[in-house]
Amino acid sequence: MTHARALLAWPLSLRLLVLALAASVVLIAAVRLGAVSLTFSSVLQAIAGRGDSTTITIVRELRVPRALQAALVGAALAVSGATFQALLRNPLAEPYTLGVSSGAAAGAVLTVVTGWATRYVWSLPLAAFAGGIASMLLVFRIAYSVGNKQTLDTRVLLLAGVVVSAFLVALIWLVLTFADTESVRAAIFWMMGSHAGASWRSVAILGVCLAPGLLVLFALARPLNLLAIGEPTAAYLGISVERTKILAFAMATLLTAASVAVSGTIGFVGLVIPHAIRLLWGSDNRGLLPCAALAGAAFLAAADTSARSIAGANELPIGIVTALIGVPCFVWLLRRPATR
Amino acid sequence: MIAGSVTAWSLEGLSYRPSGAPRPTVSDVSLEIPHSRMTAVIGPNGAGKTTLLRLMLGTLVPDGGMISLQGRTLAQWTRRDFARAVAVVPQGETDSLFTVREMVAMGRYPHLGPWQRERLEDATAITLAMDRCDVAQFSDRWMATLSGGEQQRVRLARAIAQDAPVLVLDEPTTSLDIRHEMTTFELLRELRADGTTIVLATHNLNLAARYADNLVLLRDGAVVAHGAPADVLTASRVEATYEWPVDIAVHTDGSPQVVPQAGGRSW
Amino acid sequence: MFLRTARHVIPLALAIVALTAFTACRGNERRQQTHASAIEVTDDAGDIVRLAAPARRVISLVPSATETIIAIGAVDRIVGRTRYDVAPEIATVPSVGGTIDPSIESVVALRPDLVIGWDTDKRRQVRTKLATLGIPVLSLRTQDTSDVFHGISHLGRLLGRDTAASRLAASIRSQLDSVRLEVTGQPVRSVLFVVYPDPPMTAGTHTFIDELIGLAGGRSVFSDLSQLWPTIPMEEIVRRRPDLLIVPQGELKDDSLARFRSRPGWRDLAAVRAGRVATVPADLVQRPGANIGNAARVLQAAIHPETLRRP
Repeated sequence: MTHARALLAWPLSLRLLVLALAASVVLIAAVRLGAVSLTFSSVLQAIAGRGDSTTITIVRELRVPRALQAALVGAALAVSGATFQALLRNPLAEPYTLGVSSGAAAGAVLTVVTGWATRYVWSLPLAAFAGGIASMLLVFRIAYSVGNKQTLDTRVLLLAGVVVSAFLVALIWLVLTFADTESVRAAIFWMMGSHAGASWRSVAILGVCLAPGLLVLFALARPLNLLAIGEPTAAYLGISVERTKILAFAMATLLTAASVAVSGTIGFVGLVIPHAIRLLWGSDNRGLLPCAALAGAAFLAAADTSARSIAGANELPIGIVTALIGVPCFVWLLRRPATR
Repeated sequence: MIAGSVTAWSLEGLSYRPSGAPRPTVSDVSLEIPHSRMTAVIGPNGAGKTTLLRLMLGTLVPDGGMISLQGRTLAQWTRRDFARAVAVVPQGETDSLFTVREMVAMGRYPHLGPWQRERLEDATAITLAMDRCDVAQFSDRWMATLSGGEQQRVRLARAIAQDAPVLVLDEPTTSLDIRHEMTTFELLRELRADGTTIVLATHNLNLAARYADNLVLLRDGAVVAHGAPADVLTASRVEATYEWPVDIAVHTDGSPQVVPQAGGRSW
Repeated sequence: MFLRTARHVIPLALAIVALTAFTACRGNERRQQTHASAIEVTDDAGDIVRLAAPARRVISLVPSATETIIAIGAVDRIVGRTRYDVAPEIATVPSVGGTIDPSIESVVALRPDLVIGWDTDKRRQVRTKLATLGIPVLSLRTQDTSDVFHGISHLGRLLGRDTAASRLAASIRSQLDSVRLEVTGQPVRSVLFVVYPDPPMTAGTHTFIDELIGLAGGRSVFSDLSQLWPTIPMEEIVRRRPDLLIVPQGELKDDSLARFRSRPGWRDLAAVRAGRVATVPADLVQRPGANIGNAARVLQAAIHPETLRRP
């Protein structure tokens, strides 16, 4: 046990280094593995534009953007999850708690069923993004209208998130009941999550949306620590509580909405990755957020690689893989004796 | 009448009624909290002690009246500057996976920018605070693995690490045993001797009487009396406020000690 | 307070959307070859599919199209299929996954010069992705019998097998005609085609199944509904009293009549009580492709068995 304790008392720079290495290994494996397994050197050649043109296409246009998208989404969901857990002071909180996923799904389903997704390909991700934001704003509206109108009671927020989600999900199923079979299939596939549509364009867009969100949240690490303990305490230690809450919620929602817009609703990552890091190294967000980002990136890229290589040419929906792999790993982590 | 000359905190005509409550929790309270002295706010349950503290700290907005700290009204203080001037030890907090050292380090947050790392002066303040509160041996342990009393000491260390001239404590010794209660009050006396202004709400009348320079006796949201302990704690006044017959004994150090009589009224 | 939040969030979200749109518009779609094309076909989605020469490496994501390709003698050109294509002729051809969620990488790795996809793919993900990679996609609609003939003609053109395609189309037409002739004069029977029993689903008008049923001397009791594959309440089925139930059957050779006799609602139908439940091979009847002639025959045997010529 002392050995384990020593292992886990790593300084932050070491933790980040190890996680970054892990993420790199996963990304390299992601580009090497697939329907056809490639050697490391052929990957490098393909990236440089040399060699068989099909391999070049596969590596440059399919595998690399897909691996990057999975990594970015994994990082975004993990950081967003950690943020929601701090803000809501609830270990069960995760990126979809405030209705973002149901709002995004509602937007997506709408474009599929009305046929817009067929006519204008970009309409689906845009509607998903807008739906996610709109649903968060609705949840906030409800939370602000209760009690003292000046402050945001996080318990009310949580409840509002749950009920708005339930309502939107019911609406989604109502729409799907009257829709044709193909629309239902398409909608369900989208909701199970997938990175198959990844392209350099989607990666660039994702990067644009994620960069400000991640930077702001990393800067808010200390205020988030305080908010995780209690709002009065946070105020006593110098935080403008309402302003910080709004900013953090907004950034976390942006990260989530952007992720859901490009890859559908992938669950589990946002809930479990932050907890896994917490179990190893504690709740201090200055370390937790960047570590969760790297761990989330590695995890989702690994899950995506498995989803598309394990069953031959059959693509498994990634949401299923994250849960099937993630749960046993997490249970193992939980069962380690509580150290310190 | 009130020990200490310079005023740290000044309250004027303060009143507050929560929405939906029939009566105000605090009504027309005017007080001057003197600088570098220990002031204890006492009173029966529901007297408004905690509410008064929250109003003074700006967590609640009063319906009427004015509060000034060091000459500026609360509205003129930014949260950050206020945190550098006033350190608070609250009663309880949510459990979380922070180590003791991380928790005490939070006391330094008001002094640090978002990307700024801990400096030597911060590390020193943290270590000193942990030593003073005797929690240095828990440095790497999770907060949740400590007992209630130990956690309270960590929170006190955090407040001390803040290095603020004013220290506010809300019932700091309610769940502590004799040894820890006494060491807390001894520590507060030390801090006061160093020049810290201390305001605490407490149920322990006798320790308040021995250690505090000034007492503020509240009942039903109004100030019944304030001043030196000997002036405030008279038998008739205590009986009227707490609705229980008492005797007042005198401690060897001269402070009044409240001794409740047996066989008084029932509920 | 809410307005303050909204006022912060909405401009930020709009800024992100604007940035997004900007980045999105500077896309990098590879253009398809625009120099003189030998073959040009307008597919069922309204897009133009251009090939410089007849396709030699085809991946079909539409099982009925696979059957057609086999039927026009181009089976050797098929380099990839879905996991649902179980025809023995292509057993050795590698699978690329599902019909609307194939592994794009597997598709690309097989270097096709033509991919056959679904018109009804609502997210157009496959089509868009392949388009950016420069692979031509033919979108087929598989709704009614005219779609079948268009599909055969498109495939014939794109694979350079126009003659074989016309022959196939002609042979199917003659099969359909002979079925129509043989049932002339017979009383039209009211029929319910049970796509799925629970919840009950049938084939609506404008589907090829409905058309074939009509051809074979039957009439769907739900011919007034406009949806393609409507789900219908049991009550309504009872009220409309179909004379005959037609049930597509897969590999499981279970006794369909016994199953219906045990189901609540179904068991009270006159048709079920009298045993008028006909099973037809599901593969044959649910693939609108080269086999619709045989499908029509099978339906004729179910609806008007008395019109079949004795061997």
